[in-house]
Amino acid sequence: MGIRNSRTGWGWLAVTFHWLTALAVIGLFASGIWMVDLTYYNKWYNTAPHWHKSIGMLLMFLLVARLAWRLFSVTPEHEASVSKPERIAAGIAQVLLYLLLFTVVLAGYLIPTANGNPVEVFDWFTVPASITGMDLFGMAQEDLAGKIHEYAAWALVIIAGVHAAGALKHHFIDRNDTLKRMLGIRS
Amino acid sequence: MRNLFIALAASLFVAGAAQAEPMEYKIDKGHTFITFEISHIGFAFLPGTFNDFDGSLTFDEANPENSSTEITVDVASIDTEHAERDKHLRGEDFFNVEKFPTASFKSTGIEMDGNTGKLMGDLTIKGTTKPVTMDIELKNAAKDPWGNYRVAFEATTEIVLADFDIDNYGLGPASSTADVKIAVEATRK
Repeated sequence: MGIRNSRTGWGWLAVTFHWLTALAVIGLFASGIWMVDLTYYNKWYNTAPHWHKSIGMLLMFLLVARLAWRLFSVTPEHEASVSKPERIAAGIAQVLLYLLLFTVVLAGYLIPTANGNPVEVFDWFTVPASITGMDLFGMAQEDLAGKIHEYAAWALVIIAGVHAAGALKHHFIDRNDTLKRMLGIRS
Repeated sequence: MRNLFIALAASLFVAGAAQAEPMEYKIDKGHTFITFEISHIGFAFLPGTFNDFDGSLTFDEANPENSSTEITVDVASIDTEHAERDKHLRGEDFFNVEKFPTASFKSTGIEMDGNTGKLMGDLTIKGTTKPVTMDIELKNAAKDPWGNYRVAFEATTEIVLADFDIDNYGLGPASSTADVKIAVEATRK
């Protein structure tokens, strides 16, 4: 398995991008739901949002690299046994996943940077604010971005669930190599 | 003749006093600040500002007790230089601005002794109205360099968060009160 994709399978870079994204999305969604209800004196009160934002910003950079790799390299063809409607559904789900991933990370980035403060990525480096002080629909930037971040995150995990259910169907019912290919297993 | 003179002087004095009637002032928003300070868990004090507000001021320099003021604050304009904190403060844990978008202060009386005194009024936050007494200081009342007659006041008070139902998040005992300051400049209309 090389770094590059081929007509019949994913290269290891695409596989790594995929599973890092999956891991980050699950961790970020769970931590996001949990941390917004932390009470003031909880020991995670400051650390959890700091890690959430740090990993979220790293995911944003990963997504840019991942999308570039996807657009400028070969995309493997579907397994022969995958039907036309399934191919269309899978394609729509994947486009939505990319759109929602970018929406969630960008909206997330626009919350803490809304009044010009940078985001600290662990204690490694900071990402400066860009769009600040936006006031849309009578809402401050951090409030509107916060709502978009939350709703888009829910949409993302729901569609990711459908995407995963599709992969499991290919594996256990259709018994084709769709999931194995994304796990880097050659049959 | 002498009586006539006294009567004339008295009538002039009354007329003079009558002229010093309460005057309408326009609040200079660029030089008016509604700020607060609250302790951060017993460490440093955290300052904040309400950026959007509207108000009226009637000021009687000769008889300050005839003065009155009313200020309405857009609570969502709270600004503590930290977007996530401001978002949290606007939410249900604190001000719940979707349900209670405005806070207001309406004066009910003023007692001045020289340049300092007490400003009594009704303070409404989160739909709860309580009487408060603010310490007030007249900082200046004079012509400004651009030809307006300008006044400046500072009024301060301490607010108990529990009185206005903004204490439910559990900031801790050191943060149960906030010092509020209203620094107003206004020009005579």
